[in-house]
Amino acid sequence: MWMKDKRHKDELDDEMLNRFSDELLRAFEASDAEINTAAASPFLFRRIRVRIEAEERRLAEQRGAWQALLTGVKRAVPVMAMLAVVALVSLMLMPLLSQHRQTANGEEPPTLISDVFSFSQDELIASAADMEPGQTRNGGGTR
Amino acid sequence: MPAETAAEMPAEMPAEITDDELVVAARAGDESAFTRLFERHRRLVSRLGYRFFPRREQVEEIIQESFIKAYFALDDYQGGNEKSFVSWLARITVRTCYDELRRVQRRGESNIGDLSEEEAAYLHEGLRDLSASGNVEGAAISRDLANKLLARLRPDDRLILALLKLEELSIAEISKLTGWTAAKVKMRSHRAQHGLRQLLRKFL
Repeated sequence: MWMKDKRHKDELDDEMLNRFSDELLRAFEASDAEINTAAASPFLFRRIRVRIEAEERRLAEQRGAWQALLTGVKRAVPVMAMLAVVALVSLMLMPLLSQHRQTANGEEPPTLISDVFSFSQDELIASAADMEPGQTRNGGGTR
Repeated sequence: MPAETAAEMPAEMPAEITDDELVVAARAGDESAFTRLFERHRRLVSRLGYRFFPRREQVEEIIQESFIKAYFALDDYQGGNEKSFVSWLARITVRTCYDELRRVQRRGESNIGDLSEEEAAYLHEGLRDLSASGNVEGAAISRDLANKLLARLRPDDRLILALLKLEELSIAEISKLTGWTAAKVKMRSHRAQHGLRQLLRKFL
């Protein structure tokens, strides 16, 4: 019973609050005269035009800055490509030029490390033991 | 849409020219075409502005902002039927109002926290009268007070309430206007109405 009464009271409250909410919203409503006055405000369109022109100028400046940057990039690309090609060619020609210069000065070309592997096993052992190849440790003679 | 008086129309344009034709002309750089669009629809924008803001200078700012946005979005406008420019412009205006409501709330410009003692008593009396007699006419609430109360709601709740109760739009129309789904609009409208009831309950 008490619950039923409470629910009924809440429903009445809600109904009343809903009505008051609507009134509150309606109290916020402007009159036609106010709406017309704001819409017909003097210089309103002039102010809009001024702001549009300012925005257009700003956009044009922004576009100009981007275009300048793009033009710069466009010009820089061939120069960068040329420099890259020159660098690559120099890198490829460097060993050849160096070899050519050494030959021209009469210097021995440097021994390649692969030559180490062209020694026979005997030669390597002898070299390690500081002996002539074919020589034995006791001089190779007989008593 | 309000009819425009002949005196406000630029002389060089025929009277029956449609919005879509004016948009095409404005896109091509015809300034008078945009002037004409402004003159035709400024009252609509002003009315929508007053749904959310009480002061004239705020509404004028909304009118300016909405038409500037419309001008720069003319290329995106896809015409088609008689009402489409109005709907398109209304969408821009509602979005502008919503952005402004959020900006105001973010910056705490509304200073709502605080109803003065007098205002609270006034509101309390108004509510008591209403509950006693049921006479809604008797509850004379100033717009400023209404604004203070409504400013306590979240911007999206306030947007939904204004469109639902003042513009008397359907859920589908609000959905189209705001770009929110119908389910979202429905849920928010429940939340907004509940929020407003809770707010008013405090003064009972």
